[in-house]
Amino acid sequence: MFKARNRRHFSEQCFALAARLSLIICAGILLFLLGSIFIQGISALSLEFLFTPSSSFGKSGGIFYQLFGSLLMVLVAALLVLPLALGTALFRNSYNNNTGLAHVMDQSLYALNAIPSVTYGIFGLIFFVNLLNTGISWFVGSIILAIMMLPTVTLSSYQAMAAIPKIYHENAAALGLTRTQIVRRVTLPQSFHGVVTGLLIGLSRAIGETAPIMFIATAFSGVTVPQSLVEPVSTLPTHILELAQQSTDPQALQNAWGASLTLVLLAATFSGLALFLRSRLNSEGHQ
Amino acid sequence: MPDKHPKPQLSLVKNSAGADAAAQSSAVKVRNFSAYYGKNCIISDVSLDLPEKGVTCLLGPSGTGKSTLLRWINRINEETENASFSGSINVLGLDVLEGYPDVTELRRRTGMVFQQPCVFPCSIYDNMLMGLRNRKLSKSDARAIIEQSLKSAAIWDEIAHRLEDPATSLSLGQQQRLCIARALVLKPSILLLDEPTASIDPVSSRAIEDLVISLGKDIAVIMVTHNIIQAKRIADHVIFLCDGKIVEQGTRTHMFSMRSSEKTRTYITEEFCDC
Amino acid sequence: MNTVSLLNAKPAPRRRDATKAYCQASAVLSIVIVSVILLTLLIQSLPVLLSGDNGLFGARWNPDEGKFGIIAPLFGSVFVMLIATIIAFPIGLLTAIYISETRSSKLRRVIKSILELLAGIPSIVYGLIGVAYLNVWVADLFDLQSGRIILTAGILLGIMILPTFLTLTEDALSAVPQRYRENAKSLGMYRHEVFKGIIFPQAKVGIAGAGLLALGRALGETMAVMLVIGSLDRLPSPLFNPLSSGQTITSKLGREVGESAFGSVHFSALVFMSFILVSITIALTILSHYFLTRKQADV
Repeated sequence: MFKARNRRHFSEQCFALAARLSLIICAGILLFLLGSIFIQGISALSLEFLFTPSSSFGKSGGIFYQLFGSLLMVLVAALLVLPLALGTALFRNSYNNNTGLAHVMDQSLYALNAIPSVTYGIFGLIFFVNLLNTGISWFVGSIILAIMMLPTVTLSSYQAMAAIPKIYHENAAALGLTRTQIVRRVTLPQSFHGVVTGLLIGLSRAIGETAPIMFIATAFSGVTVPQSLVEPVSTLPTHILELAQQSTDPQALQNAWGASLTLVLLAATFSGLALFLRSRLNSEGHQ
Repeated sequence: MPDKHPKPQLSLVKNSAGADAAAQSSAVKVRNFSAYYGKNCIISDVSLDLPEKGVTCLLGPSGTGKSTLLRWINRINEETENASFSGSINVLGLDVLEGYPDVTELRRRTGMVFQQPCVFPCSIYDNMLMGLRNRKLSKSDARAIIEQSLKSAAIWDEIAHRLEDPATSLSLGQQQRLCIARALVLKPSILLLDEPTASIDPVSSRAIEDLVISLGKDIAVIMVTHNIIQAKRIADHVIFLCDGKIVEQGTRTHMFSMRSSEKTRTYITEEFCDC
Repeated sequence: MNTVSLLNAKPAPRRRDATKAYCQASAVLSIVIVSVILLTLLIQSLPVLLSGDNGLFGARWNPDEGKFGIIAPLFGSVFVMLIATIIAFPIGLLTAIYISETRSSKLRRVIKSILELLAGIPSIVYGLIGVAYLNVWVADLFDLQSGRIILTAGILLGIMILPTFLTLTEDALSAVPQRYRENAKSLGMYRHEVFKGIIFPQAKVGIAGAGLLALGRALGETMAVMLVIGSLDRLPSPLFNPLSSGQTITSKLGREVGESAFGSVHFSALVFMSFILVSITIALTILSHYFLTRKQADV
């Protein structure tokens, strides 16, 4: 295999070998990650697990309220971020003529995207829990998650809007429609898929976040369905965190794996839907 | 190694009533060659000999497999998705698969110029240097070879004073001649040209055509073209391909005279080929 | 209608465009949010900055003594990031090269989808994997009592940023048009020469952008690092020993923010560290965007 004809050929062989080796390493890592999550998690997962509340600090029982808390927080976050992201994207696309302002907007969104998740948690702690005196509140958690999702949803919506062929705008304008009417009849319907895709991707990321919410929205035990906006919930990621810190206990560890698999499946469902939507609408082209 | 497709049925191959190409020794021998993209058969069972010297034009309507055939001669079609072939191609006496286990050796004996001039985003001098990587040359030797190649490509006078300029600052016609010069650096015995003037303006095209004629005096130049007038101007030998099969082949005088077959005459006069 | 009445006619009243106003307000709010966050962090950092003699830029962190040296966690962050990049960049680049040179576009699409899936695994799950497997393996490999060391965090982080870096680098490599490869190969160049001479010079801007983005992610990662690094509030000794426990900015924040009192100097020191971290990650991201979107200028 390694018959090198000359020095150049030898380098070529080394190069090809290194590339192949790297691919194998990557595939190995991939198999290890996905495999461990699935194999470990599947033994803990059952309908009973999903629908039973947890007990003795998570070491036994299931993850029902954690599941509920996670879904509640991210879905409310999605409701909060959607109007804001749409408005911002629409402004950027249809109402703004100032390139300086557009630049500032873009950089602000990139900056938001760059802020580490733990910093969001600290911000929430300072601003909402303490300064505004809300205490530990699941709704504040949703607000913070909504802010985290904002760049993703806004940029995805904006890209979908920018991709609408100019010809639609020109025809609409030629018919005498105002900018707002164009927005309502052309821009929004045609960019809808981009908005939904961005929302799903944002949801997929938000549901796995731990650091932003662990200071401000969650409590570990004794939590069921919140009765008001300013009560804590428990969530899957924070539950996994607590269990992981008790890793010497095999029962706790197994529950952690079960919760992890659930979380990964949820995140994968959201992003799988997004991928499906994106590819389906790409093949259909612009309606 | 490229994929080999299972052998299809043999069929008769037409040869011209004119000069026998095999009398001259061949640079490239193609035998029972078929080419496929996936299940799509582009060339079916073609056999021909390409002479060692002179300009041979592969002529025919677009999409009939001329470029595909050319690109298998130096195996560059391996890079294309789903491309495979069956049959054999012999370049300079060696089979392209078995005779050249290291495909770069094959490609150093053949030079190729593509339809779209593609200069690398570096200086003119560095572009020319790209082909010389296999030899340990001193700076002065390299420079001498580069100068000679640029002269053979009839572009030396225009750019001798600006070799360090980026190659993209040249006009398209000059870029194409630079690509030809770059291909000549390794002194290939066969030069493969895939519609080299298709993207070039008429004036520069004529310059390139003159270049091709002069190169044909020393090496085998195999040029794909769908421009009939161009073939008439520069070819020594013409092979007329249509729908993946050889319709007729022969010298220029034969092909462009009344002695050629009816299909050939129809194509030459009306540019219509009913295959 | 005579001319006078035409001239006297009032123009049609401008209807207040509610949609437009709403969109303007949204855009303003989006810009304002970033400023509010940064400002809040800055203001809350002031107590520790203004109170003297707290060893803020020293190496000792001891809240009881009033010492808040941020050097140790800062060093830890950089050290862990370095290990992660040593692991992720070479493997990522070589694998990206392999993928971009494959002929089959279907295979490429499948690989990209898998990479996107991997990038979507939440960081806490990576943390769990680190706790359950990596800690144990590293401890066994180096015969240590505990696997909670800087090296483990570096390895885990490397695995986490690998998919993102791989995808973006592969995009940069595939963006180089196919004709450059064909022309280079026709000249009889080997694949590694084609890469070194033609493809890499054209793709290097995009690769730099990918690298910076991966760096930013590495610095900002909290949960996974927190679970596997231990929590030693000292610079490792000797300095570049990856086998010692350590602390990164993020792991420290994750552990101590919940335990420190709001308004205390301790809390303020933590916020200050967070502010530094944010500044670095924002700078890295903006820089990486600049690289990723810049058109390749002629060499």
